[in-house]
Amino acid sequence: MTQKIVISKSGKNAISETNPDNLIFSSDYNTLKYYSSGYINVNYNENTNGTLTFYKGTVAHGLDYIPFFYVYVDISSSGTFTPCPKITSFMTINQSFYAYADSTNINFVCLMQGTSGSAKTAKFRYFIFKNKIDL
Amino acid sequence: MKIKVTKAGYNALTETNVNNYIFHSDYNTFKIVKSGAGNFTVTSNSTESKTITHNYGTRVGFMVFFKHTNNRITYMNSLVDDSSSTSSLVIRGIPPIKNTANAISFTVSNLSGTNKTLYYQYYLFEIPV
Repeated sequence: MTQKIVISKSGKNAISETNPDNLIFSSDYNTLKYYSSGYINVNYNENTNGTLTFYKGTVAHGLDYIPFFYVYVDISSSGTFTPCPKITSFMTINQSFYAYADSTNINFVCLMQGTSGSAKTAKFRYFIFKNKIDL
Repeated sequence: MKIKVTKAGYNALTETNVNNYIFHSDYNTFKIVKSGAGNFTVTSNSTESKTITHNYGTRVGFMVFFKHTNNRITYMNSLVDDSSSTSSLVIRGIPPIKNTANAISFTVSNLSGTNKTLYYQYYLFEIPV
């Protein structure tokens, strides 16, 4: 018999319940495990004279594999974070804010192509989990 | 009865801030109910619809990570390009990546003149949507 640890929601029987929605915890299911989180600012200029320009920041994840990660960005310094990728196109400004991982870093990119606008700062909020992306 | 595990330095009998708990049976955990990995061949100079069949049977929250041709990994329809490297594969945002009860579908473009392999790993979460 396989041993399990199961904690059901109130009113549900941990021994017989099979719907994961009715369980608080079950050792049958993996969970995301926090590893680290933080903020990183990346300065960029909206006006690139029409040239495709990358502005990038990096955070070393310190793992010997690429981890599960998720990133939000605040591009207006308003405290309003939206999920990455955030892709905007307005008048003469094309902007993309995204993140990717390689074997060493989580990379945070502001991709600009515009003929107007100003210098700004994107504030990225990242969450890195211990879970391995097994690719 | 409750089962509680605090972070180091906190008292499980008195702690009231949920963020100071590793586990607390009053709060649901973010369960991964299914995951899997695979790959597709994307034909040169083409835009193709792809389907990841998971057969979970219920429409739930999901996340897909892709390994691009430059060995960089990102999720959903995010990009992996910078000044040092670009991927010849683009996961299209329109139509968006979507998950039904049994399959995740998306559109990918191969901008190069040779066939490319796109690797993926998906996660399904407990959350019904």
